[in-house]
Amino acid sequence: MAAKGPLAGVRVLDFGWAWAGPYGCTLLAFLGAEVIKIEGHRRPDYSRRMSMTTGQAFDNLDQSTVFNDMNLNKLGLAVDLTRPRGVALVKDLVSISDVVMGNMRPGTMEKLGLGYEELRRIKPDIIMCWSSAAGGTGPYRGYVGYAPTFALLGGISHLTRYPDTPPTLLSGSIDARSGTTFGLAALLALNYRLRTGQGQFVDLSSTEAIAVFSGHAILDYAMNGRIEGPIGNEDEAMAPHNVYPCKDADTWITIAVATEEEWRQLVQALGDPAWAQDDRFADGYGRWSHRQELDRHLEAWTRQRTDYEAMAALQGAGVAAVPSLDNRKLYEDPHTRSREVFTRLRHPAIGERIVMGPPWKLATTPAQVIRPAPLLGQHTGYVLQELLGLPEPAAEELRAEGVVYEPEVAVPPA
Amino acid sequence: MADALAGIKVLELGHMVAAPYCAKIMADMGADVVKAEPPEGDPARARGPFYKDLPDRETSALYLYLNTNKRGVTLNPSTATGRSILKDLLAQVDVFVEDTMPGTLEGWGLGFPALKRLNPRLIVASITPFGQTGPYRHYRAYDLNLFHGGGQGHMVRNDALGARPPLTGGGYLAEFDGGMTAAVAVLGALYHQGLTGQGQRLDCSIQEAVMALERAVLTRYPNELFGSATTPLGSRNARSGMSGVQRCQDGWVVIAALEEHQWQGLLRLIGAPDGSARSSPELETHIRNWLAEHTMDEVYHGAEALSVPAGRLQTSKDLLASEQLRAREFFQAVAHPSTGPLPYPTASYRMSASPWRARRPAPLLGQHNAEVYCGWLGWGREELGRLAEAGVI
Repeated sequence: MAAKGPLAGVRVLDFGWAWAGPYGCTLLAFLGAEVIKIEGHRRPDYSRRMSMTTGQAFDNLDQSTVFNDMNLNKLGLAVDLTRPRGVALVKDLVSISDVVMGNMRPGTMEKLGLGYEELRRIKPDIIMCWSSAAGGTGPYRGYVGYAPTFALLGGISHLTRYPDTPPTLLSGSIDARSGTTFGLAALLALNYRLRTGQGQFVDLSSTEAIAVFSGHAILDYAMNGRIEGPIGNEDEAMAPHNVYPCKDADTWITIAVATEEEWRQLVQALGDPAWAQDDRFADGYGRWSHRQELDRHLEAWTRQRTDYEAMAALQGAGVAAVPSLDNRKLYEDPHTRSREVFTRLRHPAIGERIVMGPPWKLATTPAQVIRPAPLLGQHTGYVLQELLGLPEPAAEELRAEGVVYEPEVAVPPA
Repeated sequence: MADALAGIKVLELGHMVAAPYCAKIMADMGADVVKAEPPEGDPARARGPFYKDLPDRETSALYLYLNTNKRGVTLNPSTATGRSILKDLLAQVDVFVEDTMPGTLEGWGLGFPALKRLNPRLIVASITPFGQTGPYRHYRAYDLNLFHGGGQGHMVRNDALGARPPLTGGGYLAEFDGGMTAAVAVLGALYHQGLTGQGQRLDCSIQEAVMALERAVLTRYPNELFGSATTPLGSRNARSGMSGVQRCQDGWVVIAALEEHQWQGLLRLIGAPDGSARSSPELETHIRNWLAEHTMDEVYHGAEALSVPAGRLQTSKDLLASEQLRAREFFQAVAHPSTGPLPYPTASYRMSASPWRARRPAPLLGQHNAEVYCGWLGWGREELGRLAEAGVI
């Protein structure tokens, strides 16, 4: 039997929506938790319809590749939470679960009769983790947001730009950062429960999940009254430290040098050019002070080479140099190939897909991709009958009355 | 009320951001984290900004932020005695967070099999630029290299950048991604350790941590775009119309009215006719004109009052002044002996039973050598001077 992940035996109910909630649960599922994604069949997860990050729209709810990428390894239950019997069903499920997670607007679960106080009456050691744009307390607690709003509010947009260009929004990774932190918070609570037997409520703010990456800038303001500004690809002290154009169109190599030793290695890799002996480049401060000129010299060298040629030459000499890789190069790269970063699976509605696996390798309790994201309601039958032990007539009644939804056509197991 | 990780002992052999941030997440939640630094200190100590702009290894904002709640010792594992001390420490801890280049631990006689014999419950989390295996495992990389090498540089581009090079994330974003992502695996392994007493080796590649956050975009190439396109640009979706950054009267805002009810809310906000089509030139002009007459706060709060997702630019100063962050006590005062009390960001999660707590400021260099070497390992106090003279600590 294949080894199981470290969270084998942990059951998570995922009321997540879009990316910030669902991705945290996916990380737990990579680690072996049984994650049941709970969706209303009349209001399914938005990323089944479209993605702001990739710009895709999907006509068929089961064919969203983005939903698949962000919900790997989960089981799917479709239940109507506007119906009392749907809510009762979820309560039964809570009584045999460990963690309840989601990221709808704060207060939504309370309105449904599924707030933390109610859930802990059903299961005293339940862990409930809720994620929202600004958090569940404070004057902006009801505010809503997506990745670009968290990026701008969280302070990272201001720092991610050239001094003379507008703030950037950093794409969907911002949601996934909040989602990763969400998974992390659930794990902290699980570890606490393991030692104390107690559950708890965890309230996460997606804005704060981004703000923590600016700790040094926040302290700079507190220490010196200085608002740290954007510096593009440059560094406050290192030079060279930039992104240089290579031979082919829109290809780039990053080069960063911190120490004298690295500088000597760089000069050697460049073939000991005469300009490198210039007094202005004789020490780190001189190089930083004349970094524009230094960059011009380096650029003349990088433009003669492909990004991969430049990487090989510079890394061979011990210099930190890596291309700015796009998705084609990352997929075809010998290193990501060697580490099996991408893996193939079969999705029942989409067909064969290449997905990215877990971002770590655990030697004893492996994290792995075991199944695609669920079709809407794909595992409703499993939840009703195997987990909750409902007899078939009772399950059929719930289906017939539209309390739950299950695809009519039996889906062959992936 | 207790700490989430009370009783967990962690040894950190980390520098700069990624591994220290991973260990900080645990220290903030009550793990007893001992940070082992080379005798000259973590290079983060030499990075600015410094308190009152006076360079001092005890006042780097970056170091203070990332190492609050830890204890600190000095240790030089390139000496034989240093390696022996490291081994004695590892016999006593639950988790080892380290970022040495692959092969280094083995060269010290502390490869995973040896550590497992020494301490079967030990979790060894190795956080390196490209992981423990593969052709680039020995490649060097700083934050800049990893953000771009993980594919995100190509995704922060927008029309305003034109032909300029792809951009790196502000601060040390790729390294934070690496530390944050590794912490998820460490906490998973810790749960398993708590249940079974079993330790294990974790291989955490910062490049893969950066990539994983853009998994939906990265997989578009092999699945859909073979042979043609490269990375699609983020947040430039005509259907969402407004999800790009926009200039307003006093700065920058974003409005992301994706769903239909949000779109209707936006039309109400700006006084546009009901049923206006998304992304028509007239509407875009209308929006631009409306934004030019409104401040960041007016746009942000006005949109949110209509349940339209919105945001405004916030700098470090704005974050410190935010009434929301203040109401949530996101900042807590930590008094370091070299700076006095300063407001530190805590964590984005409020845990009702095991809250974030400031236990101790970041350590002075070698501050806890006596506590750890004499207290844990039983060295005589009079040996500390000799160990320091010999360059061991």
